[in-house]
Amino acid sequence: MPSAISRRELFNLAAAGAVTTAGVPWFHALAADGAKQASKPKACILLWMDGGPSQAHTFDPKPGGEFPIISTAVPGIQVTEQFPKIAGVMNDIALFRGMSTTEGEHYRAKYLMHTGYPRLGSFDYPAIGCIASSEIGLKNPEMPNFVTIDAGYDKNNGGRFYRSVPSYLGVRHAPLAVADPDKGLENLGAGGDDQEFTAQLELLMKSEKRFNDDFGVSPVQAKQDAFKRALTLMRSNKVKAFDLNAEPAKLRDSYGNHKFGRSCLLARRLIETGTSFIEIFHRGWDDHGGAAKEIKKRSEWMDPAIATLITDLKVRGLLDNTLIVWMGEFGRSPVNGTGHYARAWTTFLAGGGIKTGQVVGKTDDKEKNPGSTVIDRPITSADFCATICKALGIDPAKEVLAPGERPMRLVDKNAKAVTEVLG
Amino acid sequence: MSWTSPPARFSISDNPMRRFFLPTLRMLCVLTSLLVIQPAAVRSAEIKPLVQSIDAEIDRKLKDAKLTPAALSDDAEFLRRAYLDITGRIPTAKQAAAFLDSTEADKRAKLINELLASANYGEQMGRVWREWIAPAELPSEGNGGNQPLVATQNLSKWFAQRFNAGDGWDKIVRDVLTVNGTLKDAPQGIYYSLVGDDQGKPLPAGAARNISSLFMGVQLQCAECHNDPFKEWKQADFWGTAAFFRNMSWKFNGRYFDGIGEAFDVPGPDGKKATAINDKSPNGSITIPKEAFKNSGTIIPAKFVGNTAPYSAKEKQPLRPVFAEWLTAKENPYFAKAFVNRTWAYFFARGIVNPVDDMRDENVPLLPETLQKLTDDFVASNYDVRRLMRCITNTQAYQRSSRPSQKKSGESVALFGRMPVKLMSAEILYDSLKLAMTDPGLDLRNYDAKDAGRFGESSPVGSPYDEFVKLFTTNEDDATDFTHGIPQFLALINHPRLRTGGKTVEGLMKAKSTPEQTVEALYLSTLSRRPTSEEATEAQTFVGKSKDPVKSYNGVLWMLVNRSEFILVR
Repeated sequence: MPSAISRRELFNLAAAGAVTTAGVPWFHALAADGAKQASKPKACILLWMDGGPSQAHTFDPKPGGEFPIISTAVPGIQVTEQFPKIAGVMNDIALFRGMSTTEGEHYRAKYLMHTGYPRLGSFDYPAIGCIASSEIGLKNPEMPNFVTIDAGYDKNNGGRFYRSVPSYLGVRHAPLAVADPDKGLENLGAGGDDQEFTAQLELLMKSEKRFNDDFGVSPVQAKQDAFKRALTLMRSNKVKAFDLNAEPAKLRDSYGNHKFGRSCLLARRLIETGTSFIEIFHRGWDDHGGAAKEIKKRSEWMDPAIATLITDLKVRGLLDNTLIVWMGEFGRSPVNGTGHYARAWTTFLAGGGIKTGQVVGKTDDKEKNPGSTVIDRPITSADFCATICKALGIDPAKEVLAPGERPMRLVDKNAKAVTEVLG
Repeated sequence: MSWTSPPARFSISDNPMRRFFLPTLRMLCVLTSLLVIQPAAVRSAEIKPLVQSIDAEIDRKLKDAKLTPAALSDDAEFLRRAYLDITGRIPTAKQAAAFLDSTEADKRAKLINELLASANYGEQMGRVWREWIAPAELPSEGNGGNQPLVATQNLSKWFAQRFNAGDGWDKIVRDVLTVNGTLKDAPQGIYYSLVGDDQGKPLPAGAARNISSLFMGVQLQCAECHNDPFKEWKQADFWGTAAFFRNMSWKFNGRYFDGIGEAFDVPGPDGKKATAINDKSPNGSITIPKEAFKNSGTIIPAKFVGNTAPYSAKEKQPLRPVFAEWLTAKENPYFAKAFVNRTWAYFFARGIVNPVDDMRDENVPLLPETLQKLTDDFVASNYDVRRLMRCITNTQAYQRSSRPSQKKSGESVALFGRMPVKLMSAEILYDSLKLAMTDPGLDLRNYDAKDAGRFGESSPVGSPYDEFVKLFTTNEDDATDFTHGIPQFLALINHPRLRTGGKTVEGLMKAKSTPEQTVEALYLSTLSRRPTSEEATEAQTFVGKSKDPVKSYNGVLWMLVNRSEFILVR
């Protein structure tokens, strides 16, 4: 017999002894007889503003800034005039104005914010979406637990695009990429004659059965299983989630007809089918030429889409279990929002059962360049990741085996989750 | 060689050149070719004792474990496996038929020799080594900077040329480690950038990590930040290795790494000022950086792994050549063994020692004699890579079936009593699909090329090759791990380019093949064998029902590339 048990085996045995109740999606739990009534699993919609959105022009305005300031539904919290609808749902939002990170370069910053770790050369850390797929996603999903949606761009800038990788969590947790919310899932339609396709499938299945009888080893079975799941998805109701025209026109109009609005609507529908993590990304926020004009234009589609998403989820009773995260890789220079600025910037969380209707963290109100520093409750990228993990019911201290059989915490051990919002 | 006819004034009998020199020269050429291009029989005979001893050890171990080895693979199984493993793609229908129909007694040995002599052999080994060297996401400059895709592809081309030229592995590795110059002159220089930091800057620690894993078969990386708690490696071993790479200097051309050198007054590879590591400790040592958990700031002397005495370096002595010489010396206990183990693992999806880069005393080899004999032979042959692969692939063990038998099949694979079933890597799948579909420009993306804003460095979509490889990426550490899921199968099932068949069927129709010939050709082009009578009947029935023969033959082709048997390597 081969030599002593490997570290990997030892590690997996130990982990097996600490199994937590993984997500049994609520609708399956209701349907299954005698199923243990596990608490409803959480899901997450990440709204990624690629390039770095200016906080001064969005959610941490300062007097004398480039936009007028308005009150919100929460007394004491103010935002810029461009976001009246979001202001209206501030009770469901927790603003993080104390984001303070170390990375001012696009790709490194995107990497840092998606993984909670600075990028190394030697191996890759898994992205938060992949972590969610692995930890709270369905064990045998009909469709990947993690979906990304391209919400378009108004400028093709913002540095190299960051693509979420599952790394040592396993290839199965790679995201499914939706290029266009209106076109939906690619490669779905067995285009052409359905009868012909059925005949082709039958021809295939005959041979596959013989092959499995003859060669039924694990890779063969895994292949046939994955193939079947793809077919199941093609015919399943889950696919209907991609048909946005099934929604009433009025609701579609509330979300808006910009790709971002359509993406938000698609995300809501995917949440209803049990998808655990949806990342909607919009590119073009790297406003080196000044943020005011650009953000004014973007607010026209961003404001109604986000407010509608929050309200729509709430009305359907889904908001408490759906965490919404709005962010970019960093903020922008105080006042005019031209350069990258990581020292003090803003993100927000909404829904997800966290304590909303509040602001965590504060930037200064100096006369010159107000908002340059965080004066209360700075939040690092690890803090931020730990907060999202905890809000979703993921243990940030959990260890997984990285290359070289090295146990790696999901989030850095120095992370301090933002307990002000956690229950 | 053709000889031009002599000018009229000379006659052959008169000209001493032509009477003696040329015939002699001609004879010498023939003799030389006989020596250099040995016939298969000679090479097989040479390695036969070694091959037999490998099988003998495996059979002994199987017997001790009360396991029966699997039967030999049939020709079809062996043919496809050999083509895929050695050349990284399926055979064409013609190549498949030629082998299957051959009645030569030693046809398997001959096939192996042919495949090893083909250009695709080098290409496949080149990309395998490139995959092992390069990180999953290539480095790039943080604010934009495309990844060095071209330079990385050039690295595999460079390896391919070396493997095809038959360079010894020691020479290849020395040429990588001691490289100096711009990428234009020395494409292998990208190595140091790929194993460097996330932006592509060379790092002594990065070099130490990669070199120890790939070229020495030892996992030093845990000892970077602290002494390894489970193995014997200490920080002194890791940083002692890294110290040999402390004097690297490099230059970037805009956002791209462009050249490497080793310098002390920081003149770059082209004489101009270049960047280097700023370490104030004397030459022959390195300061542990602050990123390490323990002992940052400590100065560690250069030393070879396994030795205790530090290497005594002169003030301005380049140290990469010193390390390379130690590494590739015949007495080096790591170098040859690591390559043998990794090559074995490449064919068997399992090393003689596992994990493949964890070779140390406590990790007992599954086949100690085989490992030793192959290593000794490899060194004695001057690190002849083809010879090593010839030895491995000529064993009964490699040529056994992967068909599971009654019981204990899994245990049998673990002791090399049965071949594993492997998943095609992304690049092999891509090349095989292109061949099967006769579609060299195969593009499975779903982005409209007109939509220009989608491309470029900030685009979420890359080239057809990039996107294919990302979609069909596999588990680099375990070729038996079936990693494909729904997105991959949705593409294989539904992508229009795979459903409308490329030019394969068109070609067969043009050649006026009969229905039987067409179905046979489709099977040979994909599964590298002829259909069974059952399969042939089913296909003919299917085609017979359709009014559009081209469409239905494309349906048969679609069926074939969606078979488990296509995407798996038996």
